[in-house]
Amino acid sequence: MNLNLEQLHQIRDLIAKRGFLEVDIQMEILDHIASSVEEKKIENPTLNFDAAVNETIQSFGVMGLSAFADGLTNSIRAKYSRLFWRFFFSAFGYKYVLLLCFSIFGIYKMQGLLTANVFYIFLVTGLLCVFGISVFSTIKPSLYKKFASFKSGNSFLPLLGGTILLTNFAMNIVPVGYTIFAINVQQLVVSLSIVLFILYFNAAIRTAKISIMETKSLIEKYRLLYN
Amino acid sequence: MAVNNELFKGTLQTIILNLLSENERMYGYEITQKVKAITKGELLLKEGALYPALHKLEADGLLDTATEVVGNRVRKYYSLSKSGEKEVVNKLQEAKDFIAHLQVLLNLKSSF
Repeated sequence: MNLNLEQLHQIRDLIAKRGFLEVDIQMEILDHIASSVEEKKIENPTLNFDAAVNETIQSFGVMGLSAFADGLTNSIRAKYSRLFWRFFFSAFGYKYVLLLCFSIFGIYKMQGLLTANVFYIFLVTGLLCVFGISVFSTIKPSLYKKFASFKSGNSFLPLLGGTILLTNFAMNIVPVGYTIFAINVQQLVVSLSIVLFILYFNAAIRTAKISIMETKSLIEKYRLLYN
Repeated sequence: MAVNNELFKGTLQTIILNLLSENERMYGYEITQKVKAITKGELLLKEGALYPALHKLEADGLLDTATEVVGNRVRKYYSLSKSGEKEVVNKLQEAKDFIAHLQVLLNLKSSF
């Protein structure tokens, strides 16, 4: 026997009352509990719905539901974290090594050609554009923010500010005009940090896009059922 | 009885991969019930251990997932990816080797 919508709402409310508010976490727990309740009702048709739900919840143990939800949340975080680092390190593959070296060389040369102030204006403008794109690309209806997938996949974008600070720090830490083998160390450090920043941004945006796609797909199914 | 988590931990991924290689696709509850049925209720796979393992395998690219609307709710199905199909062979061999070593170490008589 399948549980009806009202019974599923009851289970969903029960999960929410226990403090598990992220919809994708709720959905996975809900299917698990509902499957168990349905089986209990098949095994014992006289068992009422509330008793079957209670039996199922109790079977998880004292920390069971929390451990279940924590496990789900952590694994969703880990999934997007792995995805992010895979995107980030994919740029160091043999296909892109030349492009990376060319980018570092290009930015290094640009610093030599432009005055410090003009270069700084270019840098700040670029960083503001990046910031704008990241903010714009993650503006979504509030329902998205109720999904662990969306939150985890977008968790790398706010750290962009940290990488901007690191770039700035790199510019200030090395003395101006300090050279090794005729290479201006400050310009090299700045070039490297800008390229790393771009790689970070690229990985963060790609991870966010995948999480948005997954969340969107879940929202469509969720609306189909509960709206 | 619920099996000791420490004993289960090392082989949980192999168990999941093997079940999925035999069943094409499964959902979480189905996996717990399958383990229970195969072991005649002797081993209980707890949700707190199952789902992190499933999600880790998914994140490692060994499992593909698909969500479907089934019986008024959304259900997430897990299946082996191409890499998962290759990995299951390695994992099974590792587990068999481990069991063989364990039998020698614990002086157990081979039952198979």
